[in-house]
Amino acid sequence: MTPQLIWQSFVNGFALGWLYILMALGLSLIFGITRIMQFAHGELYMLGGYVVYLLTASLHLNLFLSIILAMVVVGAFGLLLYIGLFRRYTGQMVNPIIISVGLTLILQSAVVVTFGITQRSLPRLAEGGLSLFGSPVPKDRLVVVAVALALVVALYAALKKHRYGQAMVASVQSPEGAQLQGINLKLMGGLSMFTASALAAAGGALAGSVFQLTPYMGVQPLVKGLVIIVLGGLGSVPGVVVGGIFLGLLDGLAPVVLGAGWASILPLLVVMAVLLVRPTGLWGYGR
Amino acid sequence: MALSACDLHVHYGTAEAVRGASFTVEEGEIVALLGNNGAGKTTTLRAISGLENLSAGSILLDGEPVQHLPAHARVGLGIGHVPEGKNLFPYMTVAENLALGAFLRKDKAGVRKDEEELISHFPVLGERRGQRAWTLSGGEQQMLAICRALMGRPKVLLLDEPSLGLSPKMVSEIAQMISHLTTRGMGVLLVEQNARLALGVSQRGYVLERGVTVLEGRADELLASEHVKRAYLGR
Ligand SMILES: Nc1ncnc2c1ncn2[C@@H]1O[C@H](COP(=O)(O)OP(=O)(O)OP(=O)(O)O)[C@@H](O)[C@H]1O
Ligand SMILES: [Mg+2]
Repeated sequence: MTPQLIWQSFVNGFALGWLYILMALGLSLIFGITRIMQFAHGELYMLGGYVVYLLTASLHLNLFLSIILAMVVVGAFGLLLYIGLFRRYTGQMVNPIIISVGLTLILQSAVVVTFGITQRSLPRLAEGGLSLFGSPVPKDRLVVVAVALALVVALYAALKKHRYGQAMVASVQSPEGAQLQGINLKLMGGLSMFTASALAAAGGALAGSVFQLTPYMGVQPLVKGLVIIVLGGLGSVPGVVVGGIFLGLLDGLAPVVLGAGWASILPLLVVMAVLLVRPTGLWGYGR
Repeated sequence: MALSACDLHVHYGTAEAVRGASFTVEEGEIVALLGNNGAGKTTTLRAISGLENLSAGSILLDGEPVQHLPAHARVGLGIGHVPEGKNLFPYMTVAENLALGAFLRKDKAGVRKDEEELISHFPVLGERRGQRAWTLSGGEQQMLAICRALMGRPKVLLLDEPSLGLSPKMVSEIAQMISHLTTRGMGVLLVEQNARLALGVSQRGYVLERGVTVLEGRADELLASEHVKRAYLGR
């Protein structure tokens, strides 16, 4: 265990944390408004990566343009899933769970059939590295953080300032209160599904560039996303950011510092500990 | 006629909570809806604003049927509802709650003017503009809920027990405010446990018993009625 290795793990974990944040914000938005746990959200993350793969490998489009296009395409796909599958079960518990779990398997299989099980890679986000506090940092990790941060800030600003952002927040805090101000809850559900799916797609594309593209790459971030929501408390952007960075660092550092065994159970131990002390999460609204 | 409800029926599962409620509210009129606990007052208001479905009956707003419309669409046609339990947005500020009351309005200048006017009536909301709604006292929250509904400029305002938890001073402030707004043509349907208070500010009233409107009349007639005196005025 060298200092260089620890630093490297720290940087990787920090970047990973921001991918988790993109995931968790979407899950939290969807759940807050539609009460649906979108277990197939990880597959939209994965699809984001594969759409970028298609656009860059087949159409030779610029990587960043491809990421933006993938966000729109996957966002629209998420919206279609909501309109075609989820919307009619608004307010139900079991059916949305069955649908989203089933969707997970269908989308994974569809990608396996289309692209094969082998890993694919995307173009690098950036080449080379630079020095931060006297230690080397790969530039692509910085780009991951910068892009994710920009998306999170944009979402936060929209929720705080934009008319429809405020309407979404209102729908989370009081669905009936929102309806009585003229807010269409189903429209908000569609909007949350679009936004969340686009964020997931961006995360998957960044991950596919820094790491690898596989049909199952969405599973781990989904689990992390769910854990972050529990940690950070639903409906709080700062809570999700802190929870995501924390979990990313844990994932990056724990295997190096504590070994693989501890690394796999530590996040769950932390969640249990947090919930024992603060049952509503660190920033929880207590809903 | 601003609002006209005809033979409303509402079920919760198989239980019929409202089974034949009929009433009208004219423009600029305050109408009281009286009834004991569980009589179906809240359910009636929820059915009018669309939070509950009707199993039978019709609701006309300015002569147009609205019972088939979802709740959010009825707001656009002029139904405002301050529900039991207020349904404020607890983690949003007072200013944000008020702004959402005007969600459907496009006239920015008018919205700003209305907010200023409401705050001049209830200065405490101005002092607490940046505070989150849940930090307000019960009475302040009730005020905010009413003002949020007024920000939508409803043609008919449904008020569910607005005096609950308010000091007598606040009650009279709100009563004044409501009376002032009816001079502009807004109709009010006022649900109250406190029958004396309700009949004091309203022109007409209805009595709801076990989901049926059994009595209607001018406020002074109802105040003088033996039935109302016995059942609702505690004599
Ligand atoms: N969500 C619900 N599910 C089932 N039954 C309900 C529900 N809400 C109300 N009820 C029942 O419907 C009837 C009418 O209730 P409602 O709340 O409309 O009465 P109310 O006149 O507003 O009473 P209160 O003065 O106590 O507010 C009651 O018997 C009540 O138990
Ligand atoms: Mg009631």
